[in-house]
Amino acid sequence: MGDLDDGRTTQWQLNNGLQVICLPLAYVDYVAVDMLCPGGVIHDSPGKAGSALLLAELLSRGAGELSSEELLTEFDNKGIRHGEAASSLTTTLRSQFLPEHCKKALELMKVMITSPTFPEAAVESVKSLFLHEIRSLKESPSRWAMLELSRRYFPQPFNKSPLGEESDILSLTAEELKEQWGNRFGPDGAILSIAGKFDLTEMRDLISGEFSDWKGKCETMPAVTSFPKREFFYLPFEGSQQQLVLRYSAPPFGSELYYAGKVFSQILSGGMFGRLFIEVREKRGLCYSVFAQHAGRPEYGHLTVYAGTTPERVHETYSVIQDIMADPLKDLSDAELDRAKNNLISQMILGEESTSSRARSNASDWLLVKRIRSMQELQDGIQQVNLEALNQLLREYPLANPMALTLGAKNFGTWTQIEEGSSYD
Amino acid sequence: MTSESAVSLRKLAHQQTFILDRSFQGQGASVAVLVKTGARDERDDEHGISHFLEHMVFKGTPNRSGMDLTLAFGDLGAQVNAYTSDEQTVFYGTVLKENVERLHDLLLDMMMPSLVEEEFNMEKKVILEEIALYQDKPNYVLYERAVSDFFGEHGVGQSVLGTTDSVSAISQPQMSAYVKRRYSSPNLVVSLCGDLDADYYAELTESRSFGLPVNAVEDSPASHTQNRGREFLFRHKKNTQAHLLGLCDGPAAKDPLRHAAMLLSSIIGDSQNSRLYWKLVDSGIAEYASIDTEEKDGVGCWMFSSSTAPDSWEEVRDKSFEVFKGVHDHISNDELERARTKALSRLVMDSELPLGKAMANALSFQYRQEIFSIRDEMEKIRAVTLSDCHAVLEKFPITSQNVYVMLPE
Repeated sequence: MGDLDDGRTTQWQLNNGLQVICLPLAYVDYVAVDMLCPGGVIHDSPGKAGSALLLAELLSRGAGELSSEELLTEFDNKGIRHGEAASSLTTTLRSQFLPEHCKKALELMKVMITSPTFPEAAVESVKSLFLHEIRSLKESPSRWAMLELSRRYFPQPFNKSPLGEESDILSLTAEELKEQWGNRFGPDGAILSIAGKFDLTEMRDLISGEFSDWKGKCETMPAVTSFPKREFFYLPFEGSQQQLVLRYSAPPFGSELYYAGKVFSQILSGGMFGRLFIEVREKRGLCYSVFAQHAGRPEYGHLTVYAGTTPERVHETYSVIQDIMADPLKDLSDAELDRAKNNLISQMILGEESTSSRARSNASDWLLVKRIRSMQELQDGIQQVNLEALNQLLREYPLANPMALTLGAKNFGTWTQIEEGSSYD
Repeated sequence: MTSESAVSLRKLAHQQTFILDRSFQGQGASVAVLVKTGARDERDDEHGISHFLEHMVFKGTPNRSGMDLTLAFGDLGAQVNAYTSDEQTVFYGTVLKENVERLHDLLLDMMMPSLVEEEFNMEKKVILEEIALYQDKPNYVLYERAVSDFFGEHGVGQSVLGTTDSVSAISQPQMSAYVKRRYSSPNLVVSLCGDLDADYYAELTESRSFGLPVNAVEDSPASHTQNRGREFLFRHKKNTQAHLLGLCDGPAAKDPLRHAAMLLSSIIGDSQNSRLYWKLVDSGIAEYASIDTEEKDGVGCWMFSSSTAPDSWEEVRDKSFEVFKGVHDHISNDELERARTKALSRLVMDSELPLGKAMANALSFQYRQEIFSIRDEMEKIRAVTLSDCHAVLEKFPITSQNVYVMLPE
């Protein structure tokens, strides 16, 4: 999302395949770096689900000649904020710092990427952290419900839990992890996105000096096979609230109807004016939290509807949501459509005002479409959505066949009762 | 978007406070309307009313219905929200600069809510759902129980959400009386940030808040006496892990030692490379372990929190206290310098967006009746010495914490 009036992105590729995107911004006070490496939990080998999480966490536990303590102290001595994390699809290293510490920040990121040491003791303690996260999932029922739905909604390997699997994590060794890192993460396929206060020529030299000798390549996206049959699931849980999640197919990123999908999710759930919010919360007081969200990658897209309510009101909540989804554009006025579009555009512009969000969205754009989309392109795409496009969206992505999951005390329909984490292969 | 530029601070005709920070020059602008009222200002039969009212404020005014407000925010593309704490209720939003006057108008109109009975009854159901949502979060349940025990009779320990019983019992006339008592001009801080004209917006703020009551607001009760060094164990059926919360007295919002306390927090309990990190997180004993100060009006506390496996909580408690004792014994100059460097760079990086600035200025005024520029804050951080850190520990020893533990049933 570059090419705003206040800065211009410059892109180039190093010989080793590392894609660089730089956005100098003269009026800001710091620099933000996003290093995005394709490869996450879905790429973990069978029996090793969770490796990517451990690998990312271990990058700061010792690298090159530096022990964990020395490495973190080097960051702190310059006030460099940093974070390394893996998700389902990618592994990201981030840092933010004052302009005078640019060289040191890139040096430290480079040593973590190219020479992590994965000390034995650190591997064991990092395992504990992720096991703890898996074991505490039930303390966050909405997240748990989403995760259980995703396990069943996606085909393999996209259905892998972003938290990894307990038994797999327990079995991983330092040796295995070290081998995995070298084979899974390298410059070819990785994206280095930098935004903020810096001189472009100096930055070019710095990047070239630091990253030219890095070797290897990142993971590629596996092919998407057919999605599992849509079903309705019930997972028993004695919560004060009952979680309800429905998921529908939606336009993939970059497809003709992608922006229509985004605008449609605003009509359902934009700000406080979305139809779900008004019908479920404002008119009936059924929920505190209710929303719809459209997410898309080049390979697939989906629309997720979430509501959390007390068990005795879950049936009514579900019925109201069903009524809305049965005729989601009923009586749609021009004003309502304009509101949805303008809200989306405003969110986009305001969301791009921080230096770190600029670095992040440039990296993400490159990952998804291999170019940086201009703000104008995004605005045009949204503005072009009209009623005809929305009707086409509903024809091509009908809402009659969601996958649904409810987690709580009450099986209010004849939904298939399941156990946590079970039978999703 | 550079850090420094004029901040305008004015008292308006009816004692409303107006703040405009022009240091953000981007496409957006933010408005925060702070009402100095929260859980600590509630009477015994009002628990949860401040937060309930925060919701009702979006449900309509004599000039606009709730739906009018909703649609108007939507038309502006406004990212609007609100929160209630023990000491304030804040309504805020960010919009593109050309829409900020309308956002400002809507937010000020909302300070005179109509509290229609039908809407009141409907929103009560939403609040009860919100209470149910938090009952499923053991961490939150522990927090509420711990601060309630620690602060005792003092209002800052009171639950912001209230309970199912207390909220169910609140009536519409009670809420009307609460609005008259608390939503008055002297209790209002209107804080904007963006490339805007101070005179113009000061005048607008004055005219649009003209109808608010002008009564002076009573002070909240402000004493707490509790036993210290106690330990409490709770069990919660939805808990799978052990959660620990430690509380002891800490600096209040006006305490001149608060910058030293901030650096001490970083030395002891920053998320990485702090003493708690090396003792508990690096070794995998705890998922996280941190300490921070909670600075309030006339009162404050240190708050330690950690999470671990159910059979490891005693080890976490004991090792944390070893860390706390160690800090009382010795802090190195290197540690202080690292904490200082981190604090200075974070201050710059976290002060980038207009909403953060508008909110920080409003809170600074509420607590200190002054606005500090980033440069002022940096000077105060630069001035902290090791002696200041020791003075903090002498005045507020972190070894005297009450420890609250939530375990699975």
